[in-house]
Amino acid sequence: MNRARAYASVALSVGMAVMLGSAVLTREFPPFDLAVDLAEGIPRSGVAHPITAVLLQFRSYDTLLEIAVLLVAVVVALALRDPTPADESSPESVILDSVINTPVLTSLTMTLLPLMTMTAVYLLWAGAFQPGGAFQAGAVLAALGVLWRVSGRRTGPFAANRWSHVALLAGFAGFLAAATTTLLFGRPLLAWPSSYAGVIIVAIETVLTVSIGISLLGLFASAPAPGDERV
Amino acid sequence: MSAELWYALVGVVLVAAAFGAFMAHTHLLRRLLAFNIMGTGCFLILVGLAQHKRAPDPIPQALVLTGIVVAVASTALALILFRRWFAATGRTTLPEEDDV
Repeated sequence: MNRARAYASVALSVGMAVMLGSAVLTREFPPFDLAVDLAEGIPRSGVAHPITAVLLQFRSYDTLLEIAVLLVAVVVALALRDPTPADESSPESVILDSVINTPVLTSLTMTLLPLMTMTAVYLLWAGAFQPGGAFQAGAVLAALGVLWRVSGRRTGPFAANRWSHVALLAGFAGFLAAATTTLLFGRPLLAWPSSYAGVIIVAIETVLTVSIGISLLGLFASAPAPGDERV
Repeated sequence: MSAELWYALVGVVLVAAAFGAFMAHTHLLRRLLAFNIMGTGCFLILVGLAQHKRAPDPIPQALVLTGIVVAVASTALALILFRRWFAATGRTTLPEEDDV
């Protein structure tokens, strides 16, 4: 690291600290209390947990765009994979992949498979009334998928095939379909009718869980394997 | 000093320190780490500052949750890009103006 660069970095860092710190210290308080508004809106949101209500009812547009970002990231990652991959079933590709082939990991994965699936389902279900929801459940599913892949399995629920691509797309497509269906009934985008809101939110969260799990796994799986680095 | 101000100021320190590290280092992984810490500082400011009667405000919490997922996705994508870059060129930094 050269000296001028180090000095400039320290100076900019201090400048940043001063600016941000003064912005935090001299902030103005809003004349309204959003938390109170939110608490009043919970009964008509369809779910009991405030964060889930914000994510999928009051600020569902953010969540929709977030799924779109995740999908774009995975599509780019899949597009960046090695253009000439070894045949998925050939032994070479298994050797190249980051597989840890020990009986401990294999049996641990089989033990964890039902437990982690159950945890994911519980987190999804818990999201309606306490911390939890699609993202947490999806992350657990993705972790399970990573274990599944690292222990050397290429088949089963986490194989890369046409169905995984459908699952990848299902979250965004389903969410977008639900978001635009409200337009057909003369309601604004993403404005669920409050009598069905609970059912719609749970349905969207379920599809999102699978999509998020597959997306995160796809991001992990499309990184080049350690043995595959040609210089 | 109130608790929310303390969280926010810790967030400010994280953002500033990570910003400095981001400028100082050229190794792509170090830059990615610095960028992630900067994001974490932003999240801490957002969640820490917006407290409601000594309990976190659910609205910034939900927004930060969204932000975390986006940060994870972009970090993973950056790592994939870096590894492809390393596989293609054998370098861990981007070319600079003076060594092209």
